[in-house]
Amino acid sequence: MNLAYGYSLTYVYDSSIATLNKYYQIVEDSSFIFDTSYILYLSNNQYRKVLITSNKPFSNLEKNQELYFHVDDVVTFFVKLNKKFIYYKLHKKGSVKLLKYWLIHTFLPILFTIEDKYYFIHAGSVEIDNKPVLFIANSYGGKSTLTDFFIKKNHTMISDDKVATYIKDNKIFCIPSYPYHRPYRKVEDLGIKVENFGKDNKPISKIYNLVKSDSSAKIEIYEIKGIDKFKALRHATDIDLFVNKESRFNMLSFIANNIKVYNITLPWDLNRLNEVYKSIILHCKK
Amino acid sequence: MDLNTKIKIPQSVFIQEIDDETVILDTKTQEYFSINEVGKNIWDMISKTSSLQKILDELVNIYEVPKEQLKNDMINFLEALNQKGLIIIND
Repeated sequence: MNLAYGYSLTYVYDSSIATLNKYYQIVEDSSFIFDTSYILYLSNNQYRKVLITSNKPFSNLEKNQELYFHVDDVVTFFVKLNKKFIYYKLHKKGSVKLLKYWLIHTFLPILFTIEDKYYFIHAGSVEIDNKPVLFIANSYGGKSTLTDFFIKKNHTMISDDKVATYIKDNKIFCIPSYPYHRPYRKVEDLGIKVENFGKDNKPISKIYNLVKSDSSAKIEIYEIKGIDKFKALRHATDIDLFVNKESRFNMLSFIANNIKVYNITLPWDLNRLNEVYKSIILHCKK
Repeated sequence: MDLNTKIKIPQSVFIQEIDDETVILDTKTQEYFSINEVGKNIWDMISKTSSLQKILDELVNIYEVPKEQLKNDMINFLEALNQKGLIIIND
């Protein structure tokens, strides 16, 4: 049994799973018919054509509404919203490895977003002094390189890429995503297994927005507020689908109002990564 | 646009306060905007009434600015919102 975003996943029938609160039974089923009545567009960078479709409109989601996630030539997933079963069928280029990749890396975050269970932030996340810290940045802005550096320094990894968040007791919690790390962002690959992986959901301590800078730049950390903070977080929204718009805007605003966000200079020089690391550690201790 | 124009906020537009700033998000275009305190006051009034005359009367009670100037500033602000699709003019 695997764990992803706090949910147990089982690919073979196991009756004991029904005793768990959060689980999905993943079932191969070639009999379902891919319904394309309503289409939700998603941009992706995995060099595959993907399609999210449903039998009903996405503007007014309902329980039991059918949801399909189709990856051309590889796999089609089918679920009924808020149910515990995920059905799939593999296509000509499909494999177990690709099934797991698309399920864990892309389909589950989409499903949780559509079901409004979690808000996903595109970030690397590690624990510093047992408190989760997030790193956000523009594309190719150094997130995974910095996350990788912290992992090598034996910090517990929360997420390599997508951080699932939710509100509890007026705090924003993050959930350990899945125990894999992709330092080189190989396409359609979950990456390397990480042993030191988060075990519990914890409140997010702070967020660092990496500001890619000249290799000789002085490392500075300063808090950002208001529209600048909103912009940085909005840019870091991972699953940006046209669903649950109001609740997702409210969640983003709640995050902005309850977590401190800091810009940190990231000199574009791998030899200075240790300096960045030390600056963050020192800043967290203050 | 004049004081007889009726306006309303579309259902796709949402507002939130972040720190001391106000952010408006248009979920149709995914564009977001920041407005100042006066803009926020006008926005709150739009959400209660579609009458520009009533909004102007309220503004006159809040700000020590000549009515004509307030009217021009308010109309300019609302026309900017209208151009961005953040309000709808009711015919």
